[in-house]
Order: sequence, then C-alpha cells, then structure tokens
Amino acid sequence: MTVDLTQFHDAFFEESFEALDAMEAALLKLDIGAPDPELINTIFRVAHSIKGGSATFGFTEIASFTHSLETLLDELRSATMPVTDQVSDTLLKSVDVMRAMLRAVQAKQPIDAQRVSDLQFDLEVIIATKNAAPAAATPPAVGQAPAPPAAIPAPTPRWQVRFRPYRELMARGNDPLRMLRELHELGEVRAQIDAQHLPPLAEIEPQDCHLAWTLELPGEIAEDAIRQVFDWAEGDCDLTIERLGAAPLAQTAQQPVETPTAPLAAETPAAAPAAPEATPPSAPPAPLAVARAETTAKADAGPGAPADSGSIRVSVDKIDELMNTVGELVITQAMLSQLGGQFEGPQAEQLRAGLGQLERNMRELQESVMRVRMLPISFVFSRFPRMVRDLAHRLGKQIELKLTGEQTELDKTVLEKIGDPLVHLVRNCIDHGIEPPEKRIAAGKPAAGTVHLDAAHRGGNIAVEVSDDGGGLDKDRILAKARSRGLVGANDTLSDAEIYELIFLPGFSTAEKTTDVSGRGVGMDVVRRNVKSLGGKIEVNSQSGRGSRFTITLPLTLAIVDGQSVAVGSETYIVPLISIVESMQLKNGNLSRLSGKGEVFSFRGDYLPIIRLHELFGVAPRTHELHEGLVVVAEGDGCRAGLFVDDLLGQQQVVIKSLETNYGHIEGISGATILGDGSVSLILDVPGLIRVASMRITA
Amino acid sequence: MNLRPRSKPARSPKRGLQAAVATAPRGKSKRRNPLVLNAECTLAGSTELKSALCALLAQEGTVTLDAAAVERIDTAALQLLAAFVRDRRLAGAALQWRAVSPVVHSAARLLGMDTMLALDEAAS
Repeated sequence: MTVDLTQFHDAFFEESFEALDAMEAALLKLDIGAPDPELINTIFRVAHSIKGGSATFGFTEIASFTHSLETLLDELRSATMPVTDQVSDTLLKSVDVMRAMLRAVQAKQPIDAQRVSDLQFDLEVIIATKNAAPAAATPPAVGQAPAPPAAIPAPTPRWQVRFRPYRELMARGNDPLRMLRELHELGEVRAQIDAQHLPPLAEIEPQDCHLAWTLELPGEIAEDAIRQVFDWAEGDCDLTIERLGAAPLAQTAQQPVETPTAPLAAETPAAAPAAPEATPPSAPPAPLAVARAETTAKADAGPGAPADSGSIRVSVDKIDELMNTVGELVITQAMLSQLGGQFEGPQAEQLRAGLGQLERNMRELQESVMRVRMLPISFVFSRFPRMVRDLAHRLGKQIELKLTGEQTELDKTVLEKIGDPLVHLVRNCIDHGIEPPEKRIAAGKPAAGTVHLDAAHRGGNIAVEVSDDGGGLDKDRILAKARSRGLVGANDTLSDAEIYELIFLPGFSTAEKTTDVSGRGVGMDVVRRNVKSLGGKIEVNSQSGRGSRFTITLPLTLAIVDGQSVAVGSETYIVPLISIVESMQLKNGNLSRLSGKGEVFSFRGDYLPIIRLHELFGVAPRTHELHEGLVVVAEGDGCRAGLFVDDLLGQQQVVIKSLETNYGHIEGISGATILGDGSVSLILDVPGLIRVASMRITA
Repeated sequence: MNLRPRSKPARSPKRGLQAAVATAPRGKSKRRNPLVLNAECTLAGSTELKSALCALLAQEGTVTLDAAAVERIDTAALQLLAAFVRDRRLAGAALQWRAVSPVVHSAARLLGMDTMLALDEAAS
C-alpha cells in the first residue's frame, strides 16, 4: 500500500517552522557555560522531529543536516561538551539554514547546498574537535564533577505509552518484541508488563496476545517517531501516548536499571564541598545564577504553553468569509431596527424589545469575530531577540532588549505589515541610538544599552513604542545635513518637532558612513509610508544624551474605521477620523480665489485649497455657497485641504468593504460601507482625494 | 517482515515441531526434561512449544529449561514460557533455567518479562 505523503507536507512545514521558532527562542535563552538541560532538550527535540519528518518525506538533505546537528546536540545534552559562544552561534546559524532548506523544499526550489555543507562541516568540526580535545580537557572535567549530576536530576519529562494489543495482533504479523526493539533504538525503553489477563497455559491460543505493556521513553523522542513504530499495529491495539512531567515511575525505575547512577551519587557528596571553592575564580557567579533562574522560569512558561494552548488552525479566508457574513448581518439588523421603529400596535413594543436584544447580540457576535483575527504582537516581537543579539555582536555593542506588552492583540493584517517598520526602527536604535560601551561608561551610563519594545492599547488604537537609552537624535547634525542638502533654508529656525520630522524625508541620513546595518537613508521614509498605509502615524521624541522614542499608533483593525459621516447633497460619505484636523464654518472674509488655482481659505496663517466634494463626485449639492456649508480640514501625506460639504452627520465605526475586490480601484476612495438604512456610502481616501483635486485644477 | 517465519513452517508442521523443541538428550515419550528450546522460538512453532510445555506442567520435581541455543525468540514464545513459569509457581512446583542465551535475556528484559520468567537468577 502506498500512502500519498504529500498531503502531510503542509502540516510538516508549518510544524517545522513553528518548531524552529521555538528552537531559536530556546537557543537565545541558553546561558553560555551553564545551559539549562530542559532548554537543550527542547532544542534537541526540534532537531530530532525535523529529522524524523524530513526522512519520512524523503527530504534527504534536511535529514542529513539535522542528523549532524542532532549529534552535536546530543553531546551538549549529555554535558560531555560545554555550550560555548561558538557552539551557540553555530546552532543559531543552523536554525537559519534549516529554515532556508525547508522554505526551498516547500517552494520546490533547489537547496543552497554550499551553505548547508559549509555549516554541516562546521558542525562536524565542532564535534570532532570535542572528541579530540578530551585528553587536554580531562583535568578540568574531573574538577567539575558536580556538573554532570546537575544535568541529570531535573525530572526530565518522559513519554508514557500504554500499549494494549488486541488478541489478534500477533496473528497479523506484528510482534510486540520487535516494536519494542524499534522503540529502544529511539531511546531507552522501560517496560512494565501487565500479564493479569494471561490465561493458564493450557487455555492459551499460542497466536493470541494476552499481554499488555506500559512503556516509558525519554522525553526527547518525538511523539511522531513513537507513533510510527506502532503504525503497522494500528487497529490491532489500544495505544495511548502521554507526556509525563516528573514521573515517579521513572525515578523508582531508574535505580535498578541505570547502574551508573550509583557511583555518581556516591561521588557527588565528596565533590560538593570542593564546588564553592572552585566557582569564585572562574566567573562572576552571582549574575550568572540570576540570569539562569530567570531563563528557567521563562522556559517553564515557554515551551509548556504552546503545547497545550488548545488551538486549531483556520485559514484566513474562512475567517474573512465569516466576517463578511457578520457584516451583512449587522446591516440587516440595522435595517430591521429602523423598520421596527415605524411599527404601531399592541405587539410593536415586543418587536422593539426583540430587536434591541438582536442588536446587543449582534454587537457581541461582531466583536467575537473580530477577536478571532487578533493575534498577540509577540508574533512580531519574537523575531527581535535574535536580531538584536546578532546586530549587537556585529557592531560590538552591548544591548539588552526589553519586551513588554507582548500579549497586546491586534489584527493579523496589521500585524503582518508592522514587522518591517519595527525592524527598521530597532536597527536604527542599535546602530545610531545606542553608543559604544566606552562612550556609555564615559557618560556615566551602564555599558549595556537598553532597547525597549512596548505595545499597549490606547483608546481604539494600539501604540507600539520603540525606545532606547542611547544618545538621542542629534538635532544639530540633522539640521546641518538638511541645510547642506538645501532642505532647510540657512536662516530658518525649526522647532524640535520639525527637526525630528526631517529624518522621515526620503534619502535622509546623517550616518557618516554607510554600514550594512543602516545609513543608506532608505528606512525612515519607508517606515512612515508603511505605517501610513496601515492608517497609523509615527511620532518621535528624543532627549539629547538620554535616548529617543518612536511611537507608532495604529488602528486595531483594518476591517473597521472610525469615520465622520458627511452629507453632500443626497449622498453620505465617510471621512476617516484619523485624517481630520478640524471642521469649521467659513466666513466670506477668509476666502480668496486664485486664478487658475481654484479657491483657497486661510487656516491658522496658512492657505489651504478647497475641494468641493460635490464637484468632484458630480452630485447636486444643497448649497454652492461656501459659507452656508462646512469645511472639513483634512490631512494626508503631509498635505492639507478643506473638504467642502453640506453638513456633518455623525461619527460612527463603519465596516470597510473593499471596492477593489467588488468593483475596481478608484482614486480618492478607499472603500465603501453600508449604512443602517441599507444605503451604500463611500469612504474617502484623503491623500488620494487631494491628488485628484490638484490634478483637476492644474488640468 | 515477520510473516515469513510464520507462514512457512505452517505449511510444513513437522519442521515447525523440530524447530520449536529439540529432542531432549534423554527424550522419553512426550515428557522431555530438561526441555531444550531450539534456535528458532517463534510463533510458527508455538503450538508445538505449547504442547511440550503443557506436558511438563504437572511434572514432579524440578523442571529444567534450557535456552542456551535460542537465536530467535518472539513474544508468542515468551508468552507461553511466562504462562508456564507462572503456572508452575502457582502450583508450588520447582523450575529452573539451565542456561539462557543473550537473545532470550535481552528480549525478556525489553518486554519487562525477566522477573515473570524467573530469568533474574538464571545464568546466561
């Protein structure tokens, strides 16, 4: 029987990528010299399960690479090799290589064999040098006698497998002994037999199986690998595979089986008194211990949490479909409510009560569906520990990354698009913001700089802050650069905020030399553009010598917008609140007409063009007189304009319906929504609108 | 993989009998004591092994099992031996292993059956 394995590929890739993320996180928590055995186990499990999976699917390159990796990890796990900086770096590189290989295989592209074999060579060199080294390394290894037992006592998680064959199992060609042998190849199996159902000899049918087993296996084995052993017995046995935390069975069973335990235990008390003397000269013990305690605490919460989060994978399409349907329902409900208000008669009251109930439920339903699309920002934050570590290494700086508010949730689409801007900002902080250690110490600051990423809900928005305790933005240099490039007049005086704004100009960089990290001047303008495309904004705050802070404010979701509905003739349009500066009534006095340039009005010492929406959209307005209507001062892409409307109707949250998917893109319109009375209203895109209007005027 | 040894001797039961239980040195009638297990101790010859063991169940005195020559053993054979050892013990009758091959030792240990089979004290 051949099974089409390709159907499992997607699941394998997804799981592998997740596992690699976990491996990377564990590697970053790993302390050089004093690794947490549980973290090493986590890392080992990832390599092992990827190896198993790729071997099953015939991805031989991956399987071969992970095999080398596993060999190295096994050395680390058995504490026969110390975790050094070099090892940790190589392991992190392995994560990258495995990711790249999996991506390549997933996209059916060739694997970068050179890169893989280079790293595989590195791995093997490390393993080989370790094997060659023991001669030299023996004395310290003996001195560190307490280390190996430290790795053992942690009650490592184990697998408990209950294997209860049906009678016919053996007759069908399965031999429990053979299966246990296979399991034994994965790791040491401890079997407890259950023979209570074994009948008297005379009554036994020799080909019937009357025995059952409870097996214990080391926790590092992948569950899949265990299941594979029992694959052929599927349907011929009851099988439960369970993960045990600290298995009492394991500890009691350990004594008789593992003979080396006894001599080790005997050795420990003798070696223990020597330990305190041994530690002080070697390294700074106190911070190390603290750091370790912290990481173990994190590790407990870390790998444990995702395993039993009880989640399911749902495709985004399905959720969008659900959202759409709910959106339709909201509209239907609004229509019903409006209609219900017009009814008279004895049952009208009941009808209205029912409609009220419907409205409440509807709102809850809508919120719940929205929440389904929300993901914690930790999905984005999780990439930073690695990035910061690598960058700090490369630039010779000491950097501590602080992450807070990781559980803050926001819409998946927003989440996907905010990653790159954040990466730019964090890079900038590290490259430009944080000073080299000597300079920091000279300034009376701790040698290690702090980069802080924070996320929090603020009103209907989410604020993501990237701050550092570095030197802050150098106002003088920014200004000098801007003057030399003719962006600012030689005699212009700018406020701090205006100077900070300059860094968002395309091509602006104050870095003296371009590094591969930053300084090419592409970045901040892209950051701002990306943030804007999400309907958000970015602000800078900086204090010379004390650091800078970038605050990105984003809408919680792209599916709903806070809008101001405005009336133009018989039509209703929605202006996103985020782009409105203020609304006002014009007096005849502050209006002027420029020949060939349309109308302008004075607004706080500035002249802004007026865009008559009725002209732009070809709608018959209630009034043509500017002073009889209202002007909404709106801002987009740094330009301001006054939108002339008949009236302001009210503020409301509207569900955005894409015009592109249903009709086509129209400049000046970002989407549509359906109002309570069932009519369609267009949502205005202010920057686009200003572009369209200015083109008309010049045309 | 395991099918072959099972189906092959099934077609020639005589060979199966010989495979499962070798004739004991003093082999008189059905009762062979000591019972010498042959190189192949598998499901294929299990019916014969069972009858050989059954014949010894009520044997007076000490029954001696010799597993020195066993090169292959499976769960079916071990299950029969385990039942035999247990039934002898329950009846208060004596039993001893004369010699046990490493194959049997490791198989029994893996299946967690060494205590049941009273192999702990048996020499290899």
